[in-house]
Amino acid sequence: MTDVVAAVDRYLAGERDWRSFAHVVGRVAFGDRTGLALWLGLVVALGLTWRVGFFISDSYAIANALLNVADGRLAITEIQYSLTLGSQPGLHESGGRLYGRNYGQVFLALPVVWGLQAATVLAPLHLALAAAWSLSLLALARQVATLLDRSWVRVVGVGVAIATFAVNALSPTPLHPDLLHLIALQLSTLLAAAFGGVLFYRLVGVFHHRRVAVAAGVAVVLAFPIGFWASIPKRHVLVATLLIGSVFCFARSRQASGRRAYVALAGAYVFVSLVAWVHAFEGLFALLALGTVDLLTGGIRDRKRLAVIVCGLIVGLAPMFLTNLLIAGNPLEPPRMLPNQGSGGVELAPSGEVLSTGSGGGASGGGSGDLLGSGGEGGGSEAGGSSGSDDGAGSGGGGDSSGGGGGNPLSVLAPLLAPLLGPFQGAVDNIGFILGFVVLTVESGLAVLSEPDRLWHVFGRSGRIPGLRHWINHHEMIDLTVLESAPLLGGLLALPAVVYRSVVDRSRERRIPLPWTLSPRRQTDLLVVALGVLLTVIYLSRLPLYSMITVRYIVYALPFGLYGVVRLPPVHEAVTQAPRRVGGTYVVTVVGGTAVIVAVLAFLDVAVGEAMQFHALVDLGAAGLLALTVGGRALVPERVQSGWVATVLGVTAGATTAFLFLAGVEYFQYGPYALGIARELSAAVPLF
Amino acid sequence: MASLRSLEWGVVGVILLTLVASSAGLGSDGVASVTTAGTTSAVVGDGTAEVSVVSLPSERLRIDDGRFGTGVQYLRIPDIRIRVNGVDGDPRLVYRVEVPALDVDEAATKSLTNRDGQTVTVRGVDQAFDPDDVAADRYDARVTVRVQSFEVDETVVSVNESVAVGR
Repeated sequence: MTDVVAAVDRYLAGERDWRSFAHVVGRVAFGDRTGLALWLGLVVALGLTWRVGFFISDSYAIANALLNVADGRLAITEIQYSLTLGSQPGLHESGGRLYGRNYGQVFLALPVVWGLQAATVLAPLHLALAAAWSLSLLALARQVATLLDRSWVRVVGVGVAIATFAVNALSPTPLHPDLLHLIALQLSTLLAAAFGGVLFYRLVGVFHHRRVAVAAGVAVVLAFPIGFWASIPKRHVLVATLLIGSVFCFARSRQASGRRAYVALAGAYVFVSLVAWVHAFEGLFALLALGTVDLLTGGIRDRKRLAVIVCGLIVGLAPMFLTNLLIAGNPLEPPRMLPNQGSGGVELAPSGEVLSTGSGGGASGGGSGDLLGSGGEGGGSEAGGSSGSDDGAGSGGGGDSSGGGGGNPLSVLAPLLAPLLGPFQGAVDNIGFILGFVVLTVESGLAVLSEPDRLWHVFGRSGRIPGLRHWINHHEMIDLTVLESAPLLGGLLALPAVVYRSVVDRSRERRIPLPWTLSPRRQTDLLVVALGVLLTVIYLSRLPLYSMITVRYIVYALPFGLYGVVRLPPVHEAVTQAPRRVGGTYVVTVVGGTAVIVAVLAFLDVAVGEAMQFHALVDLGAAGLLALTVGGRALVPERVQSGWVATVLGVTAGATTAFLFLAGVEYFQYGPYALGIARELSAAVPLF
Repeated sequence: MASLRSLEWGVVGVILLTLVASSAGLGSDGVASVTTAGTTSAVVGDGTAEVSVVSLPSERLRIDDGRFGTGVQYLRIPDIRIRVNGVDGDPRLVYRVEVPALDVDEAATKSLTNRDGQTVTVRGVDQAFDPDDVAADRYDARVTVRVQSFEVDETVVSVNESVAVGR
């Protein structure tokens, strides 16, 4: 970042060297050539399964919000996309006007809209996308050729780029010009997913060998649920990317010194604050985790650091405050706190009925239902047995009496702060309300930890979960658990063995260190644990739930689990020592495994739900094998070779990629492919 | 190395030229409807076609248990194969399975445009049920195959079947 400032200074001083400026910006964004190649590779790979369409109904409101913002207004006055003629999920009302939500996601997609509008001056949408994809492939080949010092890669790149462009041009997927804003929204999350891979590569690279970092960067997108949601215009991938960026900046702030450390620290707060622009309450919880860990590890030890943090917060939170102010007239009232128009209140957001502080809260939340559940659709967790979920599943919006009913003790903070923030009276009114929501959300999430059956259906095995409203998905068991959709996390099951080995290996004199004496690596570990645990706990009271597919509510926290797997010595040592085996096994599993799975499923003539559950069982097997191998390597390294761990890592990652590929091209057919070549690929798979 | 660079720029040039050349046809590149999961349907227009059913799935229409831990029951609706002749215009084929007692009315469609002289397969999509909803041992079903267009709606096959429930 400091390099960018210096480059801008040089530009303003008249030294207009665009080439070096682009180089510096590229280095700040991607880190190095490997990061750029990784991003290009991920974009190209994700494009292969990209379908243009609405996978989940509340994306209609986001796409309409983008169309209206692109036309220069926050309110939704023109509806381009609609499931029905009436209202649609995700719309909120303020001052008699309708608004969308996730405005951070909307604004971040705006440059993509402009880019596509510029491109469509030249050519139809499908050709512009085909050209962009082939040019990305060409650039990828060039970067890889330079990295490997193999010029023949460039020749291959030229051949494949022109051939695929020809296929895409001759076998077009016609895309109506009216789909431009939806395509822009999808492309923005796809690009963000790929960038999340780059940030994860850079995060892991702060403390580990480049080989491990590259493997982690590829895995977090192509062998992880992030890949499933990449081109589906939900917020989950974007939030995950911002959170990874925050942790990366935190790690750099602890590792670097001087000005670079300050800039990195500010960056950590900017990234996490931008999450609030996308989803205010996810951002709030993430900010709480970051602030707490930063405080505990001595990051806020002087006025200069405090000033840096405040600057980061102002820069990161200002867009959200401004958006809220323009929509609701209150910087602390995000669209999710405004009355819902139609269904769609299942996700994390407070309602005024439960935690009314008398003025702000009560006025703001009229549209939603109970605190832990939803408004119109009932929502909340369906299979669980906690007090919060019963209301949600049964009556839909009845409200959980345990929520407080206006008796929130934290509401006393509001009048205390009022004199200081007089001009922002509406915001002050909401402070106690929001703080109460935070406490109750964490409490209800922690309460779920005492329900093993429910946790089993969230993290372990899915199948047919008793009590869930399966009829919504026509009784197809398409919702997988965390371990079924992200089997690489099976490595975490070996954590007790790894910890045991670590304790045994250490001398007895060693004490448990205090947080502020931890090394930069351990401080980053602490932040990762805090974010991963907190961001998972806050959604537990709503899970399991229908239409989660890969437990999407907590997809944003899962990369931190993968970071934990990478940090296990048997894992990162295996990747460092045997990168070819990991890569080779991965490629063989993706190609061969996909072929075998397709053959088996075609022979058995399965339904979609059966195919998903087949993958679930395969992935669970891989996760168990990974746990056994990693645990065995930690406990009896003389018997379990590191190469075995490398092989199982490749198989596990490959099995997940096979699932993501088949899910993209076969199982979920919600719209036409963005690229003609993807349709050709799909036609080659004889399943659905 | 210089020749490689020239080759790469050549590809970039070809791609950009194709884009520029295509701009003449801007706005007339067909229509793709916004669809939701599993609701894509074949385009239909004016026209007719003569079709004959090569294989009808009556013997394999059944209800049995879902596999791999799904914990549900499935009405298995197999694919049918149709011989198509004399296609004129843009008719489509409709393959419909009804099981009134289970509230099933599933129709799969396939465009017959440019399919003259071909044997086409229309895929049946299995239907899942909560096991508690499948109480009887057999259910009455009706299978129909129709050729549809804005001009005609001809029923080619209409048969009643009894669907056995496997436990």
